[in-house]
Amino acid sequence: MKDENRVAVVTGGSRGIGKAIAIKLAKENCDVLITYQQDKVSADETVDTLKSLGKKAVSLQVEMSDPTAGVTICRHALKEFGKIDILINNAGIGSPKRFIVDSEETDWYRTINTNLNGIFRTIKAIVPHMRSRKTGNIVNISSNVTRRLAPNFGPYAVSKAGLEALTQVLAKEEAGNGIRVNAIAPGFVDTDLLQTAFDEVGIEKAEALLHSIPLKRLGMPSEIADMVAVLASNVSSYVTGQIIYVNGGGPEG
Amino acid sequence: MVLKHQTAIVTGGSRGIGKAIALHLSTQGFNIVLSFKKDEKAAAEVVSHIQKSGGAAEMIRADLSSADSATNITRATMERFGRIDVLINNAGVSSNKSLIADTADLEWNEIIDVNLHGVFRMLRAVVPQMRHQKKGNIVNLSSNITKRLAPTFGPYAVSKAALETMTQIVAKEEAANGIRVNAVAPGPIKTDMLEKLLREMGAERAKSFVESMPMKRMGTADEIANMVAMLTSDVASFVTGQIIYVNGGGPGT
Repeated sequence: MKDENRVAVVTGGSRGIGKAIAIKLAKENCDVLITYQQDKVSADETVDTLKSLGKKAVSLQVEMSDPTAGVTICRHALKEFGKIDILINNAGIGSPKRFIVDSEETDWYRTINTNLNGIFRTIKAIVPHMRSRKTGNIVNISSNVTRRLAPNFGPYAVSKAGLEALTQVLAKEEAGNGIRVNAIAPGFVDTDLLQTAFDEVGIEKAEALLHSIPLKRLGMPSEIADMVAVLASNVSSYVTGQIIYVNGGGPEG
Repeated sequence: MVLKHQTAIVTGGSRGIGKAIALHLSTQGFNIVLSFKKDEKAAAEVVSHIQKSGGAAEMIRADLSSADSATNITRATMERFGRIDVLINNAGVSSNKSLIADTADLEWNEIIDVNLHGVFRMLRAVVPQMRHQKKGNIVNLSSNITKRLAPTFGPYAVSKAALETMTQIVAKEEAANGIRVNAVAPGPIKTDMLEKLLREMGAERAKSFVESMPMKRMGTADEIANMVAMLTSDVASFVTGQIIYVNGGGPGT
């Protein structure tokens, strides 16, 4: 499955799922630019890991809610690597556990602005480059929450539902330009973010949640990364506009 | 099914589908508050029509992209009628025909702001009163575009997909408060907005578009109003969190 040397941009690539994706793509012969919001130490560590795999790697600090983030990422990647083959829109934020009507307006706007508008702007910045090369591959990271639509995760779910529609429309629009666009919707994956969430809900609820997953376990970040790499490779040359749930079979409820 | 002493808010109620909904709900015994953005004359005509038929109606100018319009509409309604039984989130803006990657940031932001944030702000303003009443009924106007996900309507489709998700989650969150929340997703309806779009398409494409619909015709605003009124009535007392397509059977592509 090793193609020629490719360049990948992974937003939110310093930790968790994003880091696993960056590593997997490096193993698939990609030079990688990762973006991170705050955690420079983790970003540096990830870059070192990528380099130890024999690939070029750089990190870039950006805030995805910043209107100029997309342009900054694109410019930086082209300066470093001269092209972008793969864009993984992984960076995203959760929203505080509240009913929609009780959500703070600032939390609502921040969630939509980061998870939906931020990806729109990144795509807008990078797609013209992909069009000019008549090739490109975009994978957006959605979430199993779009299937569950559970109470208390409203702003997050709404942003991801918007992202899935964006994925499907964009796939049709850019198909003629040789650009494929898909999304992966992870279920519960063993990351710092999830451990924090589990700590908040308490051991009992966490256990029950785990039990509700048909495969009876959390996913590994590498299991998401494997699927992302498949979508970004020629194995998936006829796959576009798809939302693929990698969720251990659920939970659906 | 004639109701008395109940009040309905219809955003964007001066023209097209919103007007049909306002007139229909008025015949069901609702006091009507309609918001309009620009066309004061059209709004005044709807109000006068309702009043001549023995109903009560108020109009309020509101641009739903502005942050305080939702609280203004809610305050005006409470001052005049003292309660809010039904909220129809009908006001919305459509997108110019451009590919997602070619859409100006400003246009993207405006569509998300009106079609998604605007409804969020209406819910935040109105739902506390409905919770207080232990009763309420909300219908959001989505669009058949969420099923088609056609190219060149990206921002509009993304905003409506997010709106549908919001509908389904708020329905779960507010069910225990006696509030039902549903959406109606119209297909092509004979309105000024669509007539304009068909003119832009040109006679030939417009004709083949209409021919592609199973019923070989566009819907009427009254056909949407009928379904909205049904959802707000007790006929639909066990229906919540549903997206009902009123689209003449398609178009599905």
